[in-house]
Amino acid sequence: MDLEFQTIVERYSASLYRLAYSFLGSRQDAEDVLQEVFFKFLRKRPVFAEEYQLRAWLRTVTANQCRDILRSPWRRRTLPLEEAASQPEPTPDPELEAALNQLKPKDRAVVYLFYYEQCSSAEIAETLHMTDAAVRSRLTRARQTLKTLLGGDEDGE
Amino acid sequence: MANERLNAYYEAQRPSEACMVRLCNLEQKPRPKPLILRLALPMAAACLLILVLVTQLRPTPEGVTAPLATSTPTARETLTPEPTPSAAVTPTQSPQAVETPAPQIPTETTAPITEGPAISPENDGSGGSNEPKPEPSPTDWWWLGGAGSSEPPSSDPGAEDLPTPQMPEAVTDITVVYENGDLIFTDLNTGETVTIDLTDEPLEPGDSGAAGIHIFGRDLVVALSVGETTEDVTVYLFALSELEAIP
Repeated sequence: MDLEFQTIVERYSASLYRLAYSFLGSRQDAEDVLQEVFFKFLRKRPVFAEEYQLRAWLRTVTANQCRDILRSPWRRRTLPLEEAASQPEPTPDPELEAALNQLKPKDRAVVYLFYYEQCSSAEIAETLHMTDAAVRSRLTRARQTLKTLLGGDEDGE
Repeated sequence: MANERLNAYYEAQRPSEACMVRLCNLEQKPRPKPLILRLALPMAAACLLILVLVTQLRPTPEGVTAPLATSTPTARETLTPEPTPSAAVTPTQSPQAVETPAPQIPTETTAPITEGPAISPENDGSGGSNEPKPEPSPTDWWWLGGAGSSEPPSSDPGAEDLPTPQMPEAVTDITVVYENGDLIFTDLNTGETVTIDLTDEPLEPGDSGAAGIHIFGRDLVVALSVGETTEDVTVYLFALSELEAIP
């Protein structure tokens, strides 16, 4: 598999951005993560036999980068997630976004990967460095929270 | 319903155009070189410059013998001849006593400084090394006695270009002779003679030294050196004021 960098950017930037945004809840941070991920890709130039391997690599790097940012003392001290979510940023569904922001960052990522990216729990577990059972547990908890916050119709089933 | 709402929500999330432009330009941007590569060129240039400077400043074998030999090394060489016993032996000395002709001393004391490489063959064996010698002390006999030759070397017309000589002016109007354990001083102006008995202090081969003496109304310093035998004695006479003037 030998894709041009431009092609890879166009094909995966939106997906990776959503994953980063699910983690961080900030557009600016998500774009920074996106840039860092592709910069790492250019530096390492990893070679994959199949495209799904490339996709998995990009997702894993994105998740790791987001975790690093969330662990950063600087971010914890200066910009809580709730405060970042209150920034006036355009969103098509403010209610849903507010409900999602009540979840933990990792739970939001699980929801995104499971519902939008149609990833299996095993894939999510590999990407987010957790067990399959932990993924299912987080998914169940996130569904219950969203159901409560959105009036019982956000169970995802 | 729920999935559609989620899908619509996520579908609307896209990186901004500016972000996409930055991402697409990432590949065109010159990636930063590793630190070692960034420093390689300046370090190589600095090393080359240092190498050139060291090469130019380091004296070559030809440089040591050509330009430098005419100035400092040879001048020092003549100032500090090897203090070997043979160096103090003068070929013209008599076995019993040595009389150092006072009028010849001034040329002898100034000539080695100015002569440099033109040192006479008979003196070459005593002080012919190119190695720098330690700075002489005024109390050292071998320094006062020079190479041991009582004969004045030939003068050098280019002596003014050499470093300032540190040898004192020798007394020219008084002669001194060591004979049978006596030091005999003669004032050439008046013909007056003074004898100092040194038999109580017998000389040993290799002895050397200097002593102050007030004689003929003047403060002088007499220096002597004994060669391989007690019969080979070289005596010099200097004015004390000349020695004190040496820095």
